[in-house]
Amino acid sequence: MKIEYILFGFGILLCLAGIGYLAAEYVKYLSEAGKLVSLLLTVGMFGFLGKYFEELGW
Amino acid sequence: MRRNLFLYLTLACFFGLIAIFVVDGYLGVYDTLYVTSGEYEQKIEPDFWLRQDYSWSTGVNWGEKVFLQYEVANHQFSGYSADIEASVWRGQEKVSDLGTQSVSIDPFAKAEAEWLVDTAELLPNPPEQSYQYSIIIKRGEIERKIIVSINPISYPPKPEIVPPR
Repeated sequence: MKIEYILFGFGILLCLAGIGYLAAEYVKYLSEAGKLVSLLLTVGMFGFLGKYFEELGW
Repeated sequence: MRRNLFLYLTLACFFGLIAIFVVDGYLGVYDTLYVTSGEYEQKIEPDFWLRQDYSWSTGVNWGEKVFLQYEVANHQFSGYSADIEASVWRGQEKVSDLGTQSVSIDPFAKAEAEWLVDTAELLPNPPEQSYQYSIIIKRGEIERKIIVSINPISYPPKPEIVPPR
């Protein structure tokens, strides 16, 4: 049972690393304005996600 | 209710990010170069120059011509105008000017410039070895470099004529 959770965790980490890598590759070719808006949207996305989990009682 | 609002805002930010990637990638001025030598047409996409500051290489037999078609696509809400200059270089020395063409492009439209390089003009005599020349296309501060190798013609060996006895 425990080993399954470790594997799930490993898989999730790999997914996040892959998404992070792809995002970094995309960001390279964005304009300066695009980078700024992307940063604001990313901050907003994680902020609202945090508030959502807070409301759930996490 | 308030909880769902945060979830919707999170999704809105996520889709906004995707939209920024798509729209920002599309907007801008992009150039595509078509190089035709011999029977081959090579298409050099804009992302080739974005990846690294590469030069494109191609080869042509002596006596043949290289046809260059330079396409500029203006994916902007405003017009774009530039002087596009093409020249042939060998080492640090300019060999010939292919010409300058001024383009004025409407928003979300394209324009083309064309040049022809005659290898027989660059090398008047048939070469015995391969020679390399650089074709440099300048559009404002942007420079595209194509290295052309002019190869000697390899004819089949002529049969020896035996003198009659």
